[in-house]
Amino acid sequence: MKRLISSITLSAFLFSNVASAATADLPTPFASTLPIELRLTQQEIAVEVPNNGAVASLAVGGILGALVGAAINKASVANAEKRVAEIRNQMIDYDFSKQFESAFREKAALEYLGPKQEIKVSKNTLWAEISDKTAKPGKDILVINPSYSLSNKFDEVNVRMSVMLVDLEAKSNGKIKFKLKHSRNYAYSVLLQPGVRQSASAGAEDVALMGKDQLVAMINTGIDGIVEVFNISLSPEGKAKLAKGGKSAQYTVGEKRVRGMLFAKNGDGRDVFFQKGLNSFFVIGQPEAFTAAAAKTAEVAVQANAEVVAQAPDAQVVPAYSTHVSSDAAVQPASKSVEEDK
Amino acid sequence: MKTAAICLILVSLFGCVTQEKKAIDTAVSTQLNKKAVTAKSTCSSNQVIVEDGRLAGDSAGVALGIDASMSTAPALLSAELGRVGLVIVKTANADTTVVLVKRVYLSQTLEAKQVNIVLEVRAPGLPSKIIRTAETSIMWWGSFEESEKAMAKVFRNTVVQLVGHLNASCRRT
Repeated sequence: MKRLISSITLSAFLFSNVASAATADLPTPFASTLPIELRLTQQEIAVEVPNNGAVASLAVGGILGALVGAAINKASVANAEKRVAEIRNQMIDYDFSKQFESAFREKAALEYLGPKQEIKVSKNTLWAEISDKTAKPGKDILVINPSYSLSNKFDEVNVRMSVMLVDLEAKSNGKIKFKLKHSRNYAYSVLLQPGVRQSASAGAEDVALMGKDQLVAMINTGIDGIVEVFNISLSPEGKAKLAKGGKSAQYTVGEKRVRGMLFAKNGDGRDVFFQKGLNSFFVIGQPEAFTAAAAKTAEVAVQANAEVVAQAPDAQVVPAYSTHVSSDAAVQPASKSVEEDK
Repeated sequence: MKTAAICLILVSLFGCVTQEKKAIDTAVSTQLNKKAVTAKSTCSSNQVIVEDGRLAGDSAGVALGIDASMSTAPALLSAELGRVGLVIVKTANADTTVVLVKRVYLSQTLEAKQVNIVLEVRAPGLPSKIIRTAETSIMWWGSFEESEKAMAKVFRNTVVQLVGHLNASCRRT
Protein backbone atom coordinates (compact mmCIF):
# COMPACT_ATOMS: atom_id res chain seq x y z
CA MET A 1 0.00 0.00 0.00
CA LYS A 2 2.80 2.36 0.91
CA ARG A 3 4.33 1.59 -2.48
CA LEU A 4 1.12 2.45 -4.28
CA ILE A 5 0.71 5.71 -2.41
CA SER A 6 4.36 6.55 -3.02
CA SER A 7 3.97 5.85 -6.71
CA ILE A 8 0.95 8.14 -6.94
CA THR A 9 2.81 10.93 -5.16
CA LEU A 10 5.88 10.35 -7.28
CA SER A 11 3.82 10.35 -10.46
CA ALA A 12 2.25 13.66 -9.54
CA PHE A 13 5.69 15.11 -8.83
CA LEU A 14 7.10 13.76 -12.05
CA PHE A 15 4.36 15.06 -14.24
CA SER A 16 5.21 18.60 -13.25
CA ASN A 17 8.94 17.91 -13.42
CA VAL A 18 8.86 16.20 -16.82
CA ALA A 19 6.62 18.84 -18.29
CA SER A 20 8.97 21.63 -17.27
CA ALA A 21 12.04 19.67 -18.36
CA ALA A 22 10.53 19.05 -21.78
CA THR A 23 10.32 22.69 -22.71
CA ALA A 24 14.03 23.22 -23.44
CA ASP A 25 16.39 21.61 -25.90
CA LEU A 26 19.32 19.56 -24.63
CA PRO A 27 21.97 22.20 -23.90
CA THR A 28 24.92 20.92 -25.93
CA PRO A 29 27.87 20.94 -25.91
CA PHE A 30 28.34 20.26 -22.21
CA ALA A 31 30.83 21.98 -19.99
CA SER A 32 30.94 18.76 -17.96
CA THR A 33 33.83 16.37 -18.35
CA LEU A 34 31.90 13.51 -16.75
CA PRO A 35 31.30 10.45 -18.90
CA ILE A 36 27.94 9.64 -20.44
CA GLU A 37 26.28 6.87 -18.45
CA LEU A 38 24.90 4.02 -20.53
CA ARG A 39 22.53 2.18 -18.19
CA LEU A 40 22.01 -1.25 -19.74
CA THR A 41 19.56 -2.97 -17.42
CA GLN A 42 17.18 -5.01 -19.58
CA GLN A 43 17.81 -8.75 -19.74
CA GLU A 44 15.02 -10.00 -22.00
CA ILE A 45 12.57 -8.57 -24.48
CA ALA A 46 9.63 -6.91 -22.72
CA VAL A 47 5.99 -6.64 -23.62
CA GLU A 48 4.57 -3.16 -23.22
CA VAL A 49 1.67 -3.39 -20.81
CA PRO A 50 -0.77 -0.50 -20.96
CA ASN A 51 -0.48 1.24 -17.63
CA ASN A 52 -3.78 1.17 -15.81
CA GLY A 53 -2.32 1.93 -12.42
CA ALA A 54 -0.99 5.05 -10.85
CA VAL A 55 -1.09 7.14 -14.00
CA ALA A 56 -4.75 6.26 -14.58
CA SER A 57 -5.51 6.73 -10.90
CA LEU A 58 -4.32 10.29 -11.10
CA ALA A 59 -7.11 10.92 -13.54
CA VAL A 60 -9.85 9.13 -11.59
CA GLY A 61 -8.46 10.13 -8.22
CA GLY A 62 -8.02 8.30 -4.97
CA ILE A 63 -6.71 5.01 -3.73
CA LEU A 64 -9.58 2.96 -5.16
CA GLY A 65 -8.47 3.86 -8.65
CA ALA A 66 -4.95 2.77 -7.85
CA LEU A 67 -6.11 -0.59 -6.49
CA VAL A 68 -8.31 -1.35 -9.45
CA GLY A 69 -5.55 -0.23 -11.75
CA ALA A 70 -3.04 -2.44 -9.98
CA ALA A 71 -5.27 -5.50 -10.29
CA ILE A 72 -5.77 -4.92 -14.00
CA ASN A 73 -2.11 -4.27 -14.44
CA LYS A 74 -1.11 -7.51 -12.71
CA ALA A 75 -3.39 -9.53 -14.99
CA SER A 76 -2.05 -7.74 -18.06
CA VAL A 77 1.52 -8.33 -17.01
CA ALA A 78 0.87 -12.02 -16.28
CA ASN A 79 -0.83 -12.54 -19.66
CA ALA A 80 1.96 -10.78 -21.50
CA GLU A 81 4.57 -12.86 -19.67
CA LYS A 82 2.81 -16.06 -20.65
CA ARG A 83 2.62 -15.10 -24.31
CA VAL A 84 6.17 -13.86 -24.63
CA ALA A 85 7.86 -16.93 -23.07
CA GLU A 86 8.43 -18.81 -26.35
CA ILE A 87 9.83 -15.70 -28.03
CA ARG A 88 12.18 -15.15 -25.10
CA ASN A 89 13.32 -18.76 -25.25
CA GLN A 90 14.27 -18.32 -28.89
CA MET A 91 16.28 -15.22 -28.01
CA ILE A 92 17.97 -16.63 -24.92
CA ASP A 93 21.47 -15.96 -26.24
CA TYR A 94 20.76 -12.55 -27.76
CA ASP A 95 22.70 -9.84 -25.92
CA PHE A 96 20.80 -6.58 -26.41
CA SER A 97 23.08 -4.67 -24.04
CA LYS A 98 26.20 -5.64 -25.96
CA GLN A 99 24.57 -4.84 -29.30
CA PHE A 100 23.41 -1.44 -28.09
CA GLU A 101 26.74 -0.55 -26.52
CA SER A 102 28.64 -1.46 -29.70
CA ALA A 103 26.27 0.55 -31.89
CA PHE A 104 26.36 3.56 -29.58
CA ARG A 105 30.13 3.57 -29.22
CA GLU A 106 30.60 3.16 -32.96
CA LYS A 107 27.89 5.42 -34.36
CA ALA A 108 26.80 8.05 -31.81
CA ALA A 109 28.03 11.52 -32.76
CA LEU A 110 29.61 12.26 -29.40
CA GLU A 111 31.36 15.32 -30.78
CA TYR A 112 28.03 17.15 -30.50
CA LEU A 113 28.05 16.61 -26.73
CA GLY A 114 31.52 17.83 -25.95
CA PRO A 115 35.19 17.29 -26.70
CA LYS A 116 36.59 13.87 -25.80
CA GLN A 117 33.28 12.71 -24.43
CA GLU A 118 33.71 9.38 -22.64
CA ILE A 119 31.17 6.62 -22.03
CA LYS A 120 30.64 4.70 -18.81
CA VAL A 121 28.58 1.50 -18.88
CA SER A 122 26.56 0.29 -15.92
CA LYS A 123 24.18 -2.65 -15.51
CA ASN A 124 22.41 -0.92 -12.61
CA THR A 125 19.78 1.79 -12.63
CA LEU A 126 20.74 5.28 -11.54
CA TRP A 127 17.91 5.10 -9.00
CA ALA A 128 19.37 2.07 -7.29
CA GLU A 129 22.69 3.89 -6.95
CA ILE A 130 20.97 7.00 -5.60
CA SER A 131 19.03 4.80 -3.20
CA ASP A 132 22.09 3.06 -1.79
CA LYS A 133 24.18 6.26 -1.96
CA THR A 134 26.77 4.85 -4.35
CA ALA A 135 25.94 7.36 -7.10
CA LYS A 136 28.76 9.79 -7.76
CA PRO A 137 27.78 13.48 -7.45
CA GLY A 138 28.33 15.67 -10.47
CA LYS A 139 26.80 18.21 -12.82
CA ASP A 140 25.49 17.67 -16.34
CA ILE A 141 25.52 13.88 -16.31
CA LEU A 142 23.88 12.44 -19.40
CA VAL A 143 22.11 9.19 -18.51
CA ILE A 144 21.00 6.94 -21.38
CA ASN A 145 18.76 3.96 -20.82
CA PRO A 146 17.80 1.84 -23.86
CA SER A 147 15.08 -0.80 -23.91
CA TYR A 148 13.45 -3.17 -26.38
CA SER A 149 9.96 -4.53 -26.41
CA LEU A 150 6.99 -5.93 -28.26
CA SER A 151 3.69 -4.08 -28.20
CA ASN A 152 0.96 -5.69 -26.10
CA LYS A 153 -0.77 -6.86 -29.30
CA PHE A 154 2.50 -8.24 -30.66
CA ASP A 155 2.17 -6.14 -33.79
CA GLU A 156 5.17 -3.86 -33.23
CA VAL A 157 8.80 -4.27 -32.26
CA ASN A 158 10.07 -1.22 -30.43
CA VAL A 159 13.52 -0.05 -29.47
CA ARG A 160 13.45 2.93 -27.14
CA MET A 161 16.02 5.13 -25.50
CA SER A 162 15.43 7.55 -22.64
CA VAL A 163 17.95 10.34 -22.26
CA MET A 164 18.20 12.50 -19.17
CA LEU A 165 20.54 15.31 -18.25
CA VAL A 166 20.87 15.37 -14.46
CA ASP A 167 22.76 16.96 -11.62
CA LEU A 168 23.55 14.83 -8.58
CA GLU A 169 24.44 16.68 -5.40
CA ALA A 170 25.71 15.19 -2.15
CA LYS A 171 23.67 16.39 0.83
CA SER A 172 25.06 16.80 4.34
CA ASN A 173 23.21 13.68 5.52
CA GLY A 174 24.96 11.56 2.87
CA LYS A 175 21.94 11.28 0.60
CA ILE A 176 22.14 12.16 -3.07
CA LYS A 177 19.90 14.92 -4.36
CA PHE A 178 18.68 14.36 -7.90
CA LYS A 179 17.87 17.22 -10.26
CA LEU A 180 16.41 16.54 -13.68
CA LYS A 181 17.50 19.27 -16.09
CA HIS A 182 16.28 17.78 -19.33
CA SER A 183 14.68 14.57 -20.53
CA ARG A 184 13.83 13.22 -23.94
CA ASN A 185 12.92 9.91 -25.53
CA TYR A 186 13.75 8.18 -28.77
CA ALA A 187 11.86 5.30 -30.34
CA TYR A 188 12.15 3.17 -33.45
CA SER A 189 9.14 0.99 -34.08
CA VAL A 190 8.80 -1.72 -36.69
CA LEU A 191 5.24 -2.58 -37.66
CA LEU A 192 4.82 -6.33 -37.96
CA GLN A 193 1.37 -6.96 -39.34
CA PRO A 194 -0.12 -4.05 -41.19
CA GLY A 195 -3.75 -4.46 -42.00
CA VAL A 196 -4.18 -7.55 -39.85
CA ARG A 197 -6.11 -6.98 -36.66
CA GLN A 198 -5.91 -10.09 -34.53
CA SER A 199 -5.68 -11.21 -30.94
CA ALA A 200 -2.54 -10.80 -28.85
CA SER A 201 -2.22 -14.60 -28.56
CA ALA A 202 -2.30 -15.03 -32.34
CA GLY A 203 0.13 -12.15 -32.71
CA ALA A 204 2.55 -13.74 -30.22
CA GLU A 205 2.29 -17.04 -32.08
CA ASP A 206 3.11 -15.31 -35.36
CA VAL A 207 6.13 -13.56 -33.86
CA ALA A 208 7.37 -16.88 -32.46
CA LEU A 209 6.88 -18.47 -35.90
CA MET A 210 8.77 -15.63 -37.52
CA GLY A 211 11.88 -16.88 -35.75
CA LYS A 212 14.80 -15.41 -33.89
CA ASP A 213 16.88 -14.21 -36.82
CA GLN A 214 14.29 -11.88 -38.24
CA LEU A 215 13.28 -10.52 -34.85
CA VAL A 216 16.91 -9.87 -33.96
CA ALA A 217 17.38 -8.13 -37.33
CA MET A 218 14.45 -5.84 -36.53
CA ILE A 219 15.79 -5.04 -33.06
CA ASN A 220 19.26 -4.34 -34.40
CA THR A 221 17.72 -2.09 -37.07
CA GLY A 222 15.89 -0.30 -34.26
CA ILE A 223 19.12 0.14 -32.28
CA ASP A 224 20.91 1.66 -35.26
CA GLY A 225 17.77 3.68 -35.99
CA ILE A 226 17.56 5.41 -32.63
CA VAL A 227 21.29 6.14 -32.53
CA GLU A 228 20.88 7.77 -35.95
CA VAL A 229 17.94 9.86 -34.75
CA PHE A 230 19.94 10.78 -31.62
CA ASN A 231 22.64 12.15 -33.94
CA ILE A 232 20.13 14.00 -36.11
CA SER A 233 18.52 15.61 -33.07
CA LEU A 234 21.88 16.89 -31.78
CA SER A 235 23.18 18.10 -35.14
CA PRO A 236 23.20 21.85 -35.84
CA GLU A 237 20.38 21.30 -38.35
CA GLY A 238 18.34 19.33 -35.84
CA LYS A 239 18.79 21.91 -33.09
CA ALA A 240 17.86 24.69 -35.48
CA LYS A 241 14.71 22.80 -36.44
CA LEU A 242 13.80 22.28 -32.78
CA ALA A 243 14.36 25.95 -32.03
CA LYS A 244 12.19 26.96 -34.98
CA GLY A 245 9.42 24.53 -33.99
CA GLY A 246 6.54 23.56 -36.17
CA LYS A 247 2.97 22.43 -36.23
CA SER A 248 1.92 19.05 -34.96
CA ALA A 249 -0.48 16.98 -37.02
CA GLN A 250 -1.77 13.44 -37.34
CA TYR A 251 -0.07 11.23 -39.89
CA THR A 252 -0.52 7.70 -41.12
CA VAL A 253 2.62 5.60 -41.53
CA GLY A 254 1.91 2.13 -42.85
CA GLU A 255 -1.24 1.29 -40.89
CA LYS A 256 -0.30 3.30 -37.82
CA ARG A 257 -1.58 6.74 -36.93
CA VAL A 258 0.89 8.99 -35.23
CA ARG A 259 0.78 12.55 -33.99
CA GLY A 260 3.73 14.85 -34.08
CA MET A 261 5.82 17.26 -36.06
CA LEU A 262 7.74 16.09 -39.12
CA PHE A 263 11.25 16.67 -37.84
CA ALA A 264 13.64 15.18 -40.40
CA LYS A 265 14.35 12.27 -42.73
CA ASN A 266 16.71 9.53 -41.68
CA GLY A 267 19.29 7.85 -43.91
CA ASP A 268 16.69 5.40 -45.24
CA GLY A 269 14.38 8.23 -46.19
CA ARG A 270 11.98 7.50 -43.35
CA ASP A 271 10.21 10.29 -41.56
CA VAL A 272 11.47 11.23 -38.12
CA PHE A 273 8.69 12.67 -35.98
CA PHE A 274 8.93 14.84 -32.89
CA GLN A 275 6.33 15.05 -30.14
CA LYS A 276 6.77 18.29 -28.31
CA GLY A 277 4.94 17.41 -25.08
CA LEU A 278 7.31 14.66 -24.06
CA ASN A 279 10.35 15.58 -26.12
CA SER A 280 9.97 12.32 -28.04
CA PHE A 281 11.66 11.58 -31.34
CA PHE A 282 10.39 8.53 -33.18
CA VAL A 283 10.51 6.65 -36.44
CA ILE A 284 8.00 4.12 -37.68
CA GLY A 285 9.75 1.39 -39.64
CA GLN A 286 7.43 0.41 -42.43
CA PRO A 287 7.15 -3.27 -43.20
CA GLU A 288 8.52 -3.01 -46.74
CA ALA A 289 12.06 -3.04 -45.36
CA PHE A 290 11.46 -6.55 -44.09
CA THR A 291 9.31 -7.79 -46.92
CA ALA A 292 11.94 -9.96 -48.56
CA ALA A 293 12.98 -11.64 -45.32
CA ALA A 294 9.36 -12.04 -44.22
CA ALA A 295 8.37 -13.57 -47.53
CA LYS A 296 11.22 -16.04 -47.25
CA THR A 297 10.18 -16.96 -43.72
CA ALA A 298 6.59 -17.37 -44.82
CA GLU A 299 7.68 -19.60 -47.69
CA VAL A 300 9.69 -21.83 -45.35
CA ALA A 301 6.79 -21.99 -42.89
CA VAL A 302 4.37 -22.94 -45.66
CA GLN A 303 6.72 -25.70 -46.82
CA ALA A 304 7.06 -26.97 -43.25
CA ASN A 305 3.30 -26.95 -42.85
CA ALA A 306 2.88 -28.83 -46.11
CA GLU A 307 5.19 -31.53 -44.79
CA VAL A 308 3.21 -31.74 -41.55
CA VAL A 309 -0.02 -32.09 -43.51
CA ALA A 310 1.52 -34.78 -45.69
CA GLN A 311 2.51 -36.76 -42.62
CA ALA A 312 -0.68 -36.26 -40.64
CA PRO A 313 -3.66 -35.22 -42.73
CA ASP A 314 -5.77 -34.40 -39.67
CA ALA A 315 -3.14 -32.19 -38.05
CA GLN A 316 -4.03 -28.56 -37.59
CA VAL A 317 -2.04 -26.34 -39.92
CA VAL A 318 -0.31 -23.47 -38.19
CA PRO A 319 -0.63 -20.34 -40.32
CA ALA A 320 2.55 -18.88 -41.71
CA TYR A 321 3.71 -15.48 -40.56
CA SER A 322 1.36 -12.99 -42.10
CA THR A 323 3.50 -10.05 -43.00
CA HIS A 324 2.13 -7.78 -45.65
CA VAL A 325 4.02 -8.39 -48.89
CA SER A 326 4.18 -5.46 -51.20
CA SER A 327 5.62 -5.28 -54.68
CA ASP A 328 6.66 -1.73 -54.00
CA ALA A 329 9.87 -1.93 -52.04
CA ALA A 330 10.38 1.81 -51.89
CA VAL A 331 9.94 3.61 -48.57
CA GLN A 332 6.62 5.33 -48.57
CA PRO A 333 6.40 8.71 -46.90
CA ALA A 334 3.91 9.36 -44.16
CA SER A 335 0.57 10.60 -45.34
CA LYS A 336 -1.13 13.37 -43.46
CA SER A 337 -4.66 12.31 -42.64
CA VAL A 338 -5.97 15.11 -40.46
CA GLU A 339 -5.66 18.85 -40.72
CA GLU A 340 -2.91 20.45 -38.75
CA ASP A 341 -3.33 21.40 -35.13
CA LYS A 342 -3.54 25.04 -34.35
CA MET B 1 3.61 6.44 -28.02
CA LYS B 2 2.98 9.21 -25.49
CA THR B 3 1.78 6.78 -22.84
CA ALA B 4 4.73 4.47 -23.41
CA ALA B 5 7.13 7.37 -23.05
CA ILE B 6 5.51 8.44 -19.76
CA CYS B 7 5.70 4.86 -18.48
CA LEU B 8 9.35 4.60 -19.44
CA ILE B 9 10.25 7.66 -17.41
CA LEU B 10 8.04 6.72 -14.46
CA VAL B 11 9.28 3.15 -14.29
CA SER B 12 12.89 4.35 -14.48
CA LEU B 13 12.30 6.79 -11.66
CA PHE B 14 10.38 4.43 -9.44
CA GLY B 15 13.50 3.44 -7.54
CA CYS B 16 13.56 6.93 -5.95
CA VAL B 17 11.23 5.78 -3.20
CA THR B 18 12.96 2.53 -2.36
CA GLN B 19 14.68 1.92 0.93
CA GLU B 20 18.33 1.12 1.54
CA LYS B 21 19.69 -1.48 -0.84
CA LYS B 22 20.25 -4.89 0.73
CA ALA B 23 21.73 -8.14 -0.47
CA ILE B 24 19.05 -10.65 -1.32
CA ASP B 25 21.01 -13.88 -1.73
CA THR B 26 21.22 -14.71 1.98
CA ALA B 27 17.62 -13.71 2.57
CA VAL B 28 16.38 -15.95 -0.24
CA SER B 29 18.44 -18.82 1.13
CA THR B 30 16.82 -18.30 4.56
CA GLN B 31 13.37 -18.30 2.94
CA LEU B 32 14.17 -21.52 1.10
CA ASN B 33 15.30 -23.13 4.35
CA LYS B 34 12.01 -22.21 6.02
CA LYS B 35 9.87 -24.06 3.52
CA ALA B 36 11.13 -27.15 1.72
CA VAL B 37 10.40 -27.90 -1.92
CA THR B 38 7.85 -30.70 -2.21
CA ALA B 39 9.37 -32.29 -5.32
CA LYS B 40 11.35 -35.52 -5.04
CA SER B 41 13.86 -36.93 -7.49
CA THR B 42 12.97 -40.46 -8.59
CA CYS B 43 16.09 -40.83 -10.62
CA SER B 44 18.91 -42.06 -8.43
CA SER B 45 21.43 -42.23 -11.27
CA ASN B 46 20.96 -38.61 -12.27
CA GLN B 47 24.13 -36.60 -11.73
CA VAL B 48 23.67 -32.88 -12.01
CA ILE B 49 26.00 -29.91 -12.19
CA VAL B 50 24.68 -26.35 -12.01
CA GLU B 51 26.69 -23.70 -13.83
CA ASP B 52 26.34 -19.97 -14.31
CA GLY B 53 25.44 -19.31 -17.94
CA ARG B 54 24.34 -15.68 -17.55
CA LEU B 55 25.58 -12.89 -19.79
CA ALA B 56 28.58 -11.10 -18.32
CA GLY B 57 27.75 -8.49 -15.74
CA ASP B 58 23.98 -8.93 -15.81
CA SER B 59 22.29 -7.66 -12.73
CA ALA B 60 19.19 -9.45 -11.55
CA GLY B 61 17.45 -6.12 -11.18
CA VAL B 62 17.87 -3.50 -8.54
CA ALA B 63 14.78 -1.37 -8.90
CA LEU B 64 13.22 -2.88 -5.79
CA GLY B 65 15.86 -1.29 -3.62
CA ILE B 66 17.75 -4.49 -3.07
CA ASP B 67 21.03 -5.82 -4.29
CA ALA B 68 19.52 -8.56 -6.39
CA SER B 69 22.59 -9.47 -8.39
CA MET B 70 21.98 -13.02 -7.14
CA SER B 71 25.56 -14.02 -7.81
CA THR B 72 25.00 -17.14 -5.71
CA ALA B 73 22.00 -18.31 -7.75
CA PRO B 74 23.78 -21.45 -9.08
CA ALA B 75 24.88 -22.39 -5.54
CA LEU B 76 21.36 -21.84 -4.17
CA LEU B 77 19.90 -23.98 -6.91
CA SER B 78 22.51 -26.71 -6.35
CA ALA B 79 21.63 -26.81 -2.65
CA GLU B 80 17.92 -27.13 -3.39
CA LEU B 81 18.48 -29.88 -5.97
CA GLY B 82 20.63 -31.77 -3.48
CA ARG B 83 17.83 -31.62 -0.94
CA VAL B 84 15.32 -33.20 -3.30
CA GLY B 85 17.60 -36.19 -3.84
CA LEU B 86 19.70 -35.39 -6.89
CA VAL B 87 23.40 -36.16 -6.93
CA ILE B 88 25.24 -32.87 -7.30
CA VAL B 89 28.72 -33.16 -8.80
CA LYS B 90 31.45 -30.57 -9.18
CA THR B 91 32.93 -31.89 -12.40
CA ALA B 92 30.88 -32.88 -15.41
CA ASN B 93 31.36 -36.09 -17.34
CA ALA B 94 29.45 -37.72 -20.22
CA ASP B 95 26.63 -38.86 -17.90
CA THR B 96 26.16 -35.54 -16.16
CA THR B 97 23.12 -33.38 -16.71
CA VAL B 98 24.28 -29.77 -17.03
CA VAL B 99 21.91 -27.09 -15.71
CA LEU B 100 22.85 -23.62 -16.93
CA VAL B 101 21.42 -20.63 -15.08
CA LYS B 102 20.65 -18.31 -18.01
CA ARG B 103 18.65 -15.53 -16.34
CA VAL B 104 17.64 -14.47 -12.84
CA TYR B 105 15.98 -11.10 -12.65
CA LEU B 106 13.32 -8.89 -11.22
CA SER B 107 11.35 -6.52 -13.35
CA GLN B 108 8.46 -4.28 -12.54
CA THR B 109 5.81 -1.89 -13.66
CA LEU B 110 4.50 0.74 -11.31
CA GLU B 111 2.41 -1.69 -9.30
CA ALA B 112 3.39 -5.22 -10.31
CA LYS B 113 6.68 -7.04 -9.88
CA GLN B 114 7.90 -10.14 -11.65
CA VAL B 115 10.66 -12.56 -10.82
CA ASN B 116 12.05 -14.57 -13.71
CA ILE B 117 14.38 -17.54 -13.59
CA VAL B 118 15.46 -19.21 -16.81
CA LEU B 119 17.49 -22.41 -16.99
CA GLU B 120 18.86 -24.41 -19.87
CA VAL B 121 18.99 -28.15 -19.16
CA ARG B 122 21.37 -30.33 -21.14
CA ALA B 123 20.68 -33.95 -20.29
CA PRO B 124 22.82 -36.66 -21.92
CA GLY B 125 21.20 -38.02 -25.08
CA LEU B 126 18.37 -35.47 -25.09
CA PRO B 127 17.90 -32.11 -26.80
CA SER B 128 18.49 -29.14 -24.53
CA LYS B 129 15.44 -27.68 -22.85
CA ILE B 130 14.69 -24.20 -21.56
CA ILE B 131 12.88 -24.10 -18.24
CA ARG B 132 11.36 -20.74 -17.48
CA THR B 133 9.64 -19.79 -14.27
CA ALA B 134 8.02 -16.43 -13.72
CA GLU B 135 5.82 -15.06 -11.00
CA THR B 136 3.90 -11.82 -11.19
CA SER B 137 2.56 -10.22 -8.05
CA ILE B 138 1.28 -6.85 -6.95
CA MET B 139 3.82 -4.55 -5.35
CA TRP B 140 1.96 -3.82 -2.13
CA TRP B 141 4.60 -2.42 0.21
CA GLY B 142 7.74 -2.57 -1.89
CA SER B 143 9.47 -4.09 1.12
CA PHE B 144 12.59 -6.17 1.14
CA GLU B 145 10.75 -9.15 2.65
CA GLU B 146 8.11 -8.99 -0.08
CA SER B 147 10.84 -9.23 -2.72
CA GLU B 148 12.80 -12.02 -1.07
CA LYS B 149 9.64 -14.10 -0.63
CA ALA B 150 8.75 -13.62 -4.28
CA MET B 151 12.26 -14.64 -5.33
CA ALA B 152 12.24 -17.70 -3.04
CA LYS B 153 8.83 -18.75 -4.39
CA VAL B 154 10.13 -18.67 -7.95
CA PHE B 155 13.21 -20.66 -6.91
CA ARG B 156 10.95 -23.34 -5.42
CA ASN B 157 8.76 -23.44 -8.54
CA THR B 158 11.88 -23.68 -10.69
CA VAL B 159 13.15 -26.66 -8.71
CA VAL B 160 9.75 -28.40 -9.04
CA GLN B 161 9.78 -27.88 -12.82
CA LEU B 162 13.38 -28.96 -13.15
CA VAL B 163 12.96 -32.11 -11.06
CA GLY B 164 9.83 -33.02 -13.02
CA HIS B 165 11.78 -32.67 -16.26
CA LEU B 166 14.73 -34.68 -14.95
CA ASN B 167 12.45 -37.44 -13.63
CA ALA B 168 10.77 -37.65 -17.04
CA SER B 169 14.15 -37.59 -18.81
CA CYS B 170 15.35 -40.42 -16.59
CA ARG B 171 12.40 -42.59 -17.63
CA ARG B 172 13.13 -41.94 -21.31
CA THR B 173 16.84 -42.77 -21.18
